[in-house]
Amino acid sequence: MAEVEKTRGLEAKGVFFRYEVDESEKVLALAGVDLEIRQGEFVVVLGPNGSGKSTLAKHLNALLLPDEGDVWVFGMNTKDPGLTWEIRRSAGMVFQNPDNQLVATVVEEDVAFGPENLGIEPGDIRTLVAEALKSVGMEAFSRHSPHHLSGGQKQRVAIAGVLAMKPKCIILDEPTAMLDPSGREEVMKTIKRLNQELGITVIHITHFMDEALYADRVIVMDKGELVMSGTPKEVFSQWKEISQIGLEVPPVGQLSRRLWSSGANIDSGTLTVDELVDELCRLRSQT
Amino acid sequence: MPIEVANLTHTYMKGTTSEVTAISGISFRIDDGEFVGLIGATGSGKSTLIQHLNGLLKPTSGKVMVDGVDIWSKGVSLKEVRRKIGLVFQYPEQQVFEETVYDDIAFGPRNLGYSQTEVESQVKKACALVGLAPDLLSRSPFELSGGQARRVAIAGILAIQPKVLILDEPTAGLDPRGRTEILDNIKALHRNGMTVILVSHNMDDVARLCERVMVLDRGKLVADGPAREVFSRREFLESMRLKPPEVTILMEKLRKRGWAVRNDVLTVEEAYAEIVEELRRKGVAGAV
Ligand SMILES: Nc1ncnc2c1ncn2[C@@H]1O[C@H](COP(=O)(O)OP(=O)(O)OP(=O)(O)O)[C@@H](O)[C@H]1O
Ligand SMILES: Nc1ncnc2c1ncn2[C@@H]1O[C@H](COP(=O)(O)OP(=O)(O)O)[C@@H](O)[C@H]1O
Ligand SMILES: [Mg+2]
Ligand SMILES: [Mg+2]
Repeated sequence: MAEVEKTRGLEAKGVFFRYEVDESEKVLALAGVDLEIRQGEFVVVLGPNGSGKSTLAKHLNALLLPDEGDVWVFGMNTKDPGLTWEIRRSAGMVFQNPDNQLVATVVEEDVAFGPENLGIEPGDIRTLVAEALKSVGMEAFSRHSPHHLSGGQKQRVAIAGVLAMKPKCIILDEPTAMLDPSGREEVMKTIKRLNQELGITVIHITHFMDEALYADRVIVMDKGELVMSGTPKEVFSQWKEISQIGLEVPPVGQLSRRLWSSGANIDSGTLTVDELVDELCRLRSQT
Repeated sequence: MPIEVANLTHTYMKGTTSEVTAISGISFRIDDGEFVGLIGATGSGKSTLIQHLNGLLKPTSGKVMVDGVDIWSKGVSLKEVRRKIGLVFQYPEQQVFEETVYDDIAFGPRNLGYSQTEVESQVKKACALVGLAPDLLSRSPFELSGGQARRVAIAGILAIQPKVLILDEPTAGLDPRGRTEILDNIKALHRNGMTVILVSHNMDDVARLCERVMVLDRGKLVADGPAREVFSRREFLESMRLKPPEVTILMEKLRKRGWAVRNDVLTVEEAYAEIVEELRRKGVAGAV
């Protein structure tokens, strides 16, 4: 049994959740979600506004509990009150606004906040903080004030704050929404590296369709339900469904599809600039 | 109502040890009916700059002139300035005060002394422009998803029908359809005469919509010109932590591989046309 538990990732079975707006009105936010995320997987969550992404994310670290159904985090049922802290430690969250996640006046104090709350020895905290800052490439800034960092750097510090608790999973709810293009790339590369090098499970919510290309698997939410799941290529090849839901194929994908449908002999599912350049040069040299 | 900024500098917490000069020596003029994009890294001073344009921040030095009048000179009503120049804040929570979504959007029009029926019609119109479902109107603004809250913030400013609309990263957190539809609706308002200033990190949106683009870098205005010109300077943009749209980069890479295509393409449609042209020239079979 213990053996099996260890390999379990994150699971949701038949999860319903309603927000109570007032006595008479409830909002159905999750309408029967079944989901399994393997340990070490990089999952990107897409979906229109109000489709339940943030609500789902909050279920995966026991900030919200299902009205019906169950959520297990690495084998721990979120409904067990005795496990809440262990669940939050093993599945940490990062949010959208880089400015109100950092509270301390020095970067390393901010990162130490989580482990301090867990009652870890000061000596060990120092090691955890140093390791965490190194993992996000921010070790040179440990004594800086967070206010003077760029948006992308602030988000990397927020990620380090989660890492310092030695989580198995990081859940990021639109961490790139407020960042400039470089900051966005910095954050995406950082979480990809944490996933590949440390084996940390990543659940990343975004409205930037191109960020889906970093994922092993893309899942799409609509009206509280999980409606699509597959590799980025699989999901974006269903372009009709994608646009019906209110999402879109990334620009390069749109261009590939248009060229293909007007007769150019290229892979219609090409999604990145470099791949499309290669496809087109191959085509052009066939004369 | 043209807006003119002359040698504008703003220093936060002036005279303390933590003083920060967020923008310095900025001058430009925006004429009626322009659609201007303002881009720059996080912390480059975009939000600071635009909050001067309707008198929410007072210049440390320099001038802001609206219709040729210094808005900080005696006798100018800032309230009047703010009804003509509407600003949608970067963070929706900076803008939410009321008990319900309806009251929140109605706040502006009520403040302007509109009758109840006028208020109602303005709220309705604004909701349609931002794609906000009517059943959300009775909810508390704190019981919304991120993207819904963003729509409420935009609707609240549209409801006062400003002559100049300034949007600070309005599409952050919006889903793709919402982003496109809201911006298209704003473009339509612009065609009917509204001046628009769009602050955004979404280079595709700026490239698609803005005729003129201004670039801020560490508090200084470092570029100001036609979108096509600014976005064809990839290395310059990258040095400012910015990036041209993906299709612009694609065209640059094709040129490096010997393609005779333009380097100032901004949209998927333009890229498509250029590529098809080149394939035809080369006589590639099947390229329509
Ligand atoms: N605190 C709350 N009280 C009541 N209803 C809420 C609350 N938070 C969210 N909702 C509602 O629950 C549904 C799902 O919201 P959720 O925040 O999970 O969406 P989301 O997919 O994260 O959207 P977005 O892309 O806009 O962030 C929506 O209908 C929303 O209006
Ligand atoms: N209220 C404030 N108090 C002190 N400093 C501020 C305040 N608002 C912004 N700043 C500082 O001013 C600079 C410009 O910030 P901002 O105008 O928000 O840039 P942007 O909108 O381009 O991200 C940054 O260094 C920021 O830290
Ligand atoms: Mg959300
Ligand atoms: Mg800003």
